[in-house]
Amino acid sequence: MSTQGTVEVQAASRWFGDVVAVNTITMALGPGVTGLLGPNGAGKTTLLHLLSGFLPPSRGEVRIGGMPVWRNPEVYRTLGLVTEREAVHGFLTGWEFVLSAARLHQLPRPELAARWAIDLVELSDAEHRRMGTYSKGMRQRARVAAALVHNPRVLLLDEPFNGMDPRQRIQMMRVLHEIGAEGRTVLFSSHILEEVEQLSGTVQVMVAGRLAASGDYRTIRRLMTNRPHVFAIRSSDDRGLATALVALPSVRGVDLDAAGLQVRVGDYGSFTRALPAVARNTGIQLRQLLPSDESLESVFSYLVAS
Amino acid sequence: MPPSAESVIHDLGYQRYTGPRLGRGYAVRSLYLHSLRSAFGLGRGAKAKIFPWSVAALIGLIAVIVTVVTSVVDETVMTYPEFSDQVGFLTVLFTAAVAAEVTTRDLSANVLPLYFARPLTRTDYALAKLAAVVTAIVLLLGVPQLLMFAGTAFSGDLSLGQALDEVVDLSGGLAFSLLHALLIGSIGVLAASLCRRKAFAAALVVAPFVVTAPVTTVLMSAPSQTVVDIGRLTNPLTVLMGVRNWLFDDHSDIGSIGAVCGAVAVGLVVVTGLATVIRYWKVKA
Amino acid sequence: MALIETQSLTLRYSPQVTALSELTVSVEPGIIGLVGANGAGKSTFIKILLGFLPPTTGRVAVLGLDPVAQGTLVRGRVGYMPENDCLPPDVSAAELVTHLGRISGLPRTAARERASETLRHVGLYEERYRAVGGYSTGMKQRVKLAQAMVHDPDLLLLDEPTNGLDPAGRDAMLELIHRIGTEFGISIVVCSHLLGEVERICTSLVAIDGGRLLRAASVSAMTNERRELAIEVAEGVDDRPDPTGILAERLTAEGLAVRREARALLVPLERDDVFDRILAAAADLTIPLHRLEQRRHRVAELFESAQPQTIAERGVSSAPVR
Repeated sequence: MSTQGTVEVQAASRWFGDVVAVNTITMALGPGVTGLLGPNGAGKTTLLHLLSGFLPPSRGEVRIGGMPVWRNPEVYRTLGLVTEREAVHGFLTGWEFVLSAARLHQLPRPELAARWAIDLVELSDAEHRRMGTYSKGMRQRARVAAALVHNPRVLLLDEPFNGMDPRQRIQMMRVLHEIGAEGRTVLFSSHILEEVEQLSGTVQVMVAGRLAASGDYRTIRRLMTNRPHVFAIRSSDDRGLATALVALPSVRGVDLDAAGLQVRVGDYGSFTRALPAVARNTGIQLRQLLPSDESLESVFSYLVAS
Repeated sequence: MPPSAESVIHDLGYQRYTGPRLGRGYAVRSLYLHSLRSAFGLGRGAKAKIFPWSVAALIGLIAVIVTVVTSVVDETVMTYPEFSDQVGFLTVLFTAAVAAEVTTRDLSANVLPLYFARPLTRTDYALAKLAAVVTAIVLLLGVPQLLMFAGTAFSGDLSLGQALDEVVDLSGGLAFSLLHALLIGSIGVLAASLCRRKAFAAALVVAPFVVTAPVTTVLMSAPSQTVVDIGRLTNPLTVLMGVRNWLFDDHSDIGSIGAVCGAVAVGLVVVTGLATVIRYWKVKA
Repeated sequence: MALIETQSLTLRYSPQVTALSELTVSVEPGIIGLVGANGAGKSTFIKILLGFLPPTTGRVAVLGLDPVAQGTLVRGRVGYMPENDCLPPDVSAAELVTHLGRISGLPRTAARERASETLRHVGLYEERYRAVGGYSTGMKQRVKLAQAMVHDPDLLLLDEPTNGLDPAGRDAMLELIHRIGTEFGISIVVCSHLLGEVERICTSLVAIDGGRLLRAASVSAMTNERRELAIEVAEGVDDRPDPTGILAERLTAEGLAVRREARALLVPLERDDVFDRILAAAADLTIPLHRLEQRRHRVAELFESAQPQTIAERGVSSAPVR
């Protein structure tokens, strides 16, 4: 039973002549924040266009809240969109802009809705200034407010942090995080993996039109059993520890240098269980254990490469 | 392997540059030459060459025809200064293409920051572009006149005295071409630099010459000499004709208005040149 | 001699608009991150360094020279990579970089050779003979970098060099910048919005906020270790429902102050034996360990306000009912 905020893509494809931009993608998004990642040209923007009803799928289905998205104006009650590039009317104030969005949605109490949306994105201080005087971050927040003013269950954003400075970015991440925490389904595309990592570990990764992976990136990493996990270790006796670790069947190899120990692990579970015991039995003090390739960046590069 | 050869891995790492750095004058000259070459489409593929070289060929053809007719009819059909005036409109078309090419490419692609971040001031940039367009027009008008000179002087009919006279006439013609180049060129560069789109820039260059033409014609056919004189000053091409009449023509009795034309021509060159420099100081980069 | 030195540098565009205010900073050679708010501060600073704008008051020196009085000298020794698109589409990379090399004062043959070398260093090979208009974003960024370096500058000013690049492209560009700054021996100022990048490749940092200097420090000073350990238990490995909680309980029982933050346990590093005690507890309970790390400060802390408030705390009412 799909709830209002569920986004479902069922074997959807979209092609333009010979170019298959989106190739048989099946995904389901629920409440919370999800990052949509992929190299340039992977089809992220096309997928967002399919999800937002700008394009019909060439094959398959795209549904939000159980309703098909294409040619269905009703779906925009549940959906909010923030596109990548959009000229805003510089002569409007932030308040006027969000209010007009509320009126366009034919909300019964547009002023209340606009008030709520503007407070949500922390734009109340500047709401009566013209948007032409806004910084990039402020304009972006105004657009998020306009996209949220009708309280949609689903929010889609295309590269929302583009061009934002650190403070603006932190602010926007806070807003998105809280929106997601309130139970809305938020999907945003980004190239900046450190942001995605901080905002939410849940990702959908596209490569060349196909969906390469979904879910929490740390779990995805563990699913890559053909790639040995790499740990960077520092201890009170690196060489001694190296010798002990090589004896473990879960360890594929060990590299030793001035920075410490790099261990390649074939069996993640048994290594992580065995390590504390090895340290204790050898009397070597373990001072650092860092998984080197579980960052979103590593996971992403593995997915793109394979 | 010869016994003295050694195996070695060559260092392909980054090398610092210890050679000469030639400074601002060289930079300006390089920009000038590059612009001049691109005006004639050199180094830019066949399409870019069509227009400038067609106009040049046309003007050259006119020169050849004049030379042939002169030798057949055995009297001067067209003096060198007259030549520049007669092909004036072709010169304007050529300038429109060249000035648009030389200015809009950098403006529309926003390349100016890459230039200004180098040892080249904005003034240098503007002057280099002006100089390139002026040079292109000098070549456009000068080479055909040289052809005319060659046709006449080396036809074997002239005495040494007549040949020397011809050289003097040619020099006058070339000097007048230079004035043409300066006036039309600087108006052209100023106009073209105001617009980022090549087609519109070319139109802007042609505008000052074409838009005023009907007014000029009407005024210059008025009965009152004062009105005619005023009319002469409304179009750059008629101003140039006025200068020619004043400096070179024995037949027309142009009077003081000729000197005024001269002053106006020089004044316009200075003003448009300055305006171009100011334009490039104002442009955002 | 400091790379860049300013003293009470102030720039006012008009009586109401002050872009930089009383900026005093001394920057040593290395790879310097220039971070801060969009708009006036950073780009104005770059323009002043290049001699495009004279300071309203105060002094500035680049490589020991005054960028206004000795602008041509300064710009001969500095390379600039603009943030925005600035490449003519119908010219090849080789031609463009050679031409710009000559405008920087290199004689013709040297310009050609250095253009070729620089394009190789930035990783453009046979593409360099094709028109720039057909390049991908990553390739265009490389061309912009090549033209900044062709004349072997002593200082590179890179404005958002990873703009528009996908993760692989960003990674490659950062690697390249790092190589240039360390192996090639050229000092680099990198303007960036991405503090993770800055932490990764920069040796020092200048943060400008509202036209004023927020902080100028070495990155290592700003990312030094905190007296706190973070421990993460491996997930999906243990059969017990909450191994992290079990470890936390044991450590608390042993008298350590344990705090839980998302997946991690945080323990103050009061004494060196804390390491041993944690490991002993983990070994004892057969807890699989995923991470053990002494936490570090992050550059991002500069920009985080003290008490970020949740929506509820800010007093925003709940969403209006439709």
